[in-house]
Amino acid sequence: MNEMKNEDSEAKTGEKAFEKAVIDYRERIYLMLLKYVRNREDAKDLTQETFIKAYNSLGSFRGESGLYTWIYRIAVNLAINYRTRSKTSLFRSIDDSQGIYNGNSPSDNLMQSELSSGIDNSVRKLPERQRMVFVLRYYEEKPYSEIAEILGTTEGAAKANYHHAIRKLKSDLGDYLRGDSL
Amino acid sequence: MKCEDVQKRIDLELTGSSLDFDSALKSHIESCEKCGLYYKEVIRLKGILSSQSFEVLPGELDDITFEKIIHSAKPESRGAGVFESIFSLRWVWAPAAAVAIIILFLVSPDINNLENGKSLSVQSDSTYLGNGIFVESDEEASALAVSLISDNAEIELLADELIFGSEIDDLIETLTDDEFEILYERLGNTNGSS
Repeated sequence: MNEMKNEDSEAKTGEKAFEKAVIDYRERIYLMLLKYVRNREDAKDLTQETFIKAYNSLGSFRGESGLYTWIYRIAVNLAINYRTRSKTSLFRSIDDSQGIYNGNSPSDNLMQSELSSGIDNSVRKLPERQRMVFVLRYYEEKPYSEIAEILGTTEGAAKANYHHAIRKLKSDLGDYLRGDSL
Repeated sequence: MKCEDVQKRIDLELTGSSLDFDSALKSHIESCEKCGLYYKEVIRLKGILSSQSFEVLPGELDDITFEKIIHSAKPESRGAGVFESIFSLRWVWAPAAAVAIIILFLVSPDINNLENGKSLSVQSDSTYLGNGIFVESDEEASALAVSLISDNAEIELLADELIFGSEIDDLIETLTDDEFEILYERLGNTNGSS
C-alpha cells in the first residue's frame, strides 16, 4: 500500500517536472526550429510535436544527458525530417506575421522585408543537414563537437557541412553582399 | 598558409556573434588581398544575416501546454506508468550511469574513427536520398548509389557496404570539398533536383 502511494507521488513529481519542462523550454525549442523552418506556423507545430514525441518516448530517456538536451535533440531530428505543411509557407517570410511597427520608413521596411525573404529562401535551399549545422553553429553558437554529437556524426563532417553552407549562402546572397539589391 | 585553408577557417569561425582568429590567420588576412576580400565578404554576410531577428510574439506559444501535449500523446504514455520508470528510478541512477559512460569512453577506441565512412546507405522509402536529393523508387536509389560507387574510387574505398533504409549523408560527410562538389553536381544532374 505504501509502495503504491510512493509510486503515485513519484509519478506526480514526474508529471510536474515534464510540465515545467514544457513551460521552460518551449520558447528556446521554438526559436531554434523557427531559424530552421523559417515559418512560424510550422515551427509551432514542430515544437508541439517535439514535446509530444518527448512525452511518448520518456521511457527511452536514460538521464545520460539533461532533459533539455534530450528534448533539443528530438526537435533537431524532427526538423531534419520535416516537410513543409503548407505550400504558402514556402513563400512566407518569418517577418510576415509580425506586423510590428518598428519606426522605419515604408521603403526601409520594404527593403528589409525583401532581404529577409531572400535570407529565408537561401537558408531553406540548403540541404537539410547543412541547414541544421548552419542553425546550430551560426545562430545557436554550438561548438562543432556538440553539433557532431547532436547529429550523430563526426566533428569533421559538421565542419564540412558548415563550410559548404556558408559558401552556398555567400553565393546565393551575392547581390546583397555586393549591395546590388540594397 | 594556403589561401584555401585560410578561407575555410574564416568560414568555420563565423557565428552570429563572433568572427575571431589567431594572430597567424589575422596577419595572413591583412597581407593577402584575396583573403582580405574574402574576409570582408564574410563580414558582410554576417551583417546581412544579423538583420533578421527571431522573437516569440506575445502569446504565440500560450497554447503549447502540458495538458494539450498529454491529450495528443499515445494513450499508453499517459498517466502515472511512464513516470514511474523515468522520474523515480532512472533519474536516481543517472549520475552513476554518467560516470560509467565517461569511464567507458576514456578506455574505448575512437568511436568516430570506427564509424566514419564505413557505410554507404540510401533512404528511398520516403523518397529522400540525403542532401536534398530525391528519388522515385528503390531501383532509382540503387542505380544511383551503384553509379556513385563505381565512378569514384575514393568513394568506393569509403563504402564498405550498401544499406537501404538509412541515409547517404554518412558517406557524403566523409568527402573532401572537391569530392563533395562533384558528387553534389552528379546527384543533382541524375535526379533533376538538388
